[in-house]
Amino acid sequence: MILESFSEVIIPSGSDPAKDPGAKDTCVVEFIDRLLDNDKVQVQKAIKSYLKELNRHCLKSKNKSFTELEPENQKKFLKLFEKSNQKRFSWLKRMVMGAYYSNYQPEGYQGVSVWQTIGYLGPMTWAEMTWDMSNPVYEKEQEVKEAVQL
Amino acid sequence: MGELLSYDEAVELKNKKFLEEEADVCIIGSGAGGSVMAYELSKAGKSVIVLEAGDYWKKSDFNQMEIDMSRELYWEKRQIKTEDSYLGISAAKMVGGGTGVNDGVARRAPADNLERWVGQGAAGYSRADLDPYYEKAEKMMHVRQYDYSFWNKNNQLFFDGMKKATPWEAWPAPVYIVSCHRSGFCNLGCKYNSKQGTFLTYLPYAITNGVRLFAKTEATGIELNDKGEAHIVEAQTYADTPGYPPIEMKIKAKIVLLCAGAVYSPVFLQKAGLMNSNSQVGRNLATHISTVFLGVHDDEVLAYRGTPVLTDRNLPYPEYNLLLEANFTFPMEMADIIPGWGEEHKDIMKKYNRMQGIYVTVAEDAMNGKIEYDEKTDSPKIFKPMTDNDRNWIDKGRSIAKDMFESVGAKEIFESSAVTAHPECSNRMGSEPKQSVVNLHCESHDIPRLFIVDAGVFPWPVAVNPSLTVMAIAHKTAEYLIDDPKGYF
Repeated sequence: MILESFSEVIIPSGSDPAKDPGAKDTCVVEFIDRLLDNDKVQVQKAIKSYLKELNRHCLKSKNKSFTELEPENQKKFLKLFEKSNQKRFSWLKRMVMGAYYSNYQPEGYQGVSVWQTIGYLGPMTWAEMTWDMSNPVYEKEQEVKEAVQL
Repeated sequence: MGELLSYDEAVELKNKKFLEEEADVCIIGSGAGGSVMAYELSKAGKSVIVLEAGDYWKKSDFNQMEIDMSRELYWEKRQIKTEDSYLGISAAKMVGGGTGVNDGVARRAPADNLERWVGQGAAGYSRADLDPYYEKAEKMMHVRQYDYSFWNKNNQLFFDGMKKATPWEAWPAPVYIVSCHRSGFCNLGCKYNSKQGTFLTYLPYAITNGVRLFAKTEATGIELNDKGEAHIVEAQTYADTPGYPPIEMKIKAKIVLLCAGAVYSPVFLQKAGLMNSNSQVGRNLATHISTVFLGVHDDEVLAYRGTPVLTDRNLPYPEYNLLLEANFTFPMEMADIIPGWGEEHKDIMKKYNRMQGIYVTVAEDAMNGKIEYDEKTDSPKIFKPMTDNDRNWIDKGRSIAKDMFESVGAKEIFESSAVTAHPECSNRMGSEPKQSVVNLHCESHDIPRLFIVDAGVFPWPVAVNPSLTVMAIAHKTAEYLIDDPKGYF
């Protein structure tokens, strides 16, 4: 629950989630759970402890758990947490960003893909490949004695 | 004729619990250093076993998916963060090591840079000394350059920008990429065998010479003999079938070569409790601290498509201690290195396909880092504080990048958090045992018959991408071992 709330603040949905999905719309947490299942036990423990620490800080400073805060207050709290717990925050942020920009699409997802929102074409298809032995560009390929002897 | 572990051997291996081998040389790590050593020593008639913690990858195994390849081809999913979370460091984990996932840039270190190596006590490592070895590596790795017309827009904008906005002209980068398909996925493994990792060059020849290579085999320690010399390498090799436990290995060897890279060589030594009498193992780490500057254009740049790095430039030293190169990265990593989060971060990422990337690298950054093995997490802990000097160089680079972007029409400029891909100097060489880990022949001061041959032995940061220099040092060290002045063989 904490991770879900955290991910929604890190990558919020746009005004039209179908065209501008956030972490919640693409079920980032579901994907993270799958990835962590295959990770080292130490990594799983570390993530759990970072989330626990985040919530502990929140309880201490706001008297509420992170999930109980309003979105605007969650944002404010995370800005402070980021400053005081840079390592833990950056681990969690990286995990959420990585899952989101991996282009994971949960079953039944109908919206645009994350890659579409950023204009990333992904792996190169055969149709896209321009390699052609008769392409004159390849005739200019040359050995490079001069360039290396600098 | 040698071979990768054959099917029959693999089947036989699955039924064993313990494997004993013997060879003249045992090499830990199959990257730029290890591959060259395997090739040269086997060519000279030595029996060689290579242990590689990573897996063996064929071109058809690479799927160009960042989420998959970052987890499979690298230690720690491609990013070992320093303890202050400021820098991300990558270390490859595959047969061929870093040469399987780097950009393939193959520059010789500038002569003045190597003069500073000599100034650090590394006699015999001037440019003139290393040139013959560089030449060998360039030939074996099919180093070449590509014409401007072949470059993607990111590289062309870099070149044009430097010409318009600075007193310098960018250089075409020599690369070990043959008949490039211009996919842009060098860092995730080349599925066309165009990028010449050492698993396509040195290692096949080495195997033809009789080298036995055990992939998915992690060295765990080195037993010393009564004289305190490296004697037996202990390792664990992993059968792929679920339910089979790892198989313990012991390899008796006359010489042990540790070529696990500037991060994992010190980690191995610390984990095994070896050679830290002078506390230099893992110290003096330099990392080519870089900052990625991103310029956003009105039109698509598609910087992630096409050969990543075909042009760069070392700026004059000492006025500018900088290496600038055209480069870019994939969405997951880009999202991580662009500071911030929330709506603003998302809006920046939406400009991804219109971004141009310039990597500004402190060519000779402070050797103030250290690597420690963390038993709790079974992974490295890296400390690499950024100095005021590093910041000043980046400031200079920022100003140059800004001028370059503006001259080619970029409308917005963003700056990443610091990154790096070139850890070095963590097991530095030197003639003073108190200040170095290995001598000038790369042999451990503490443990005879143990040699380290990777970027960790650099006595001073190299001012360019390091893989060609690692190969040159490996050729040089192999020559020394083949001469065998100490009668080890």
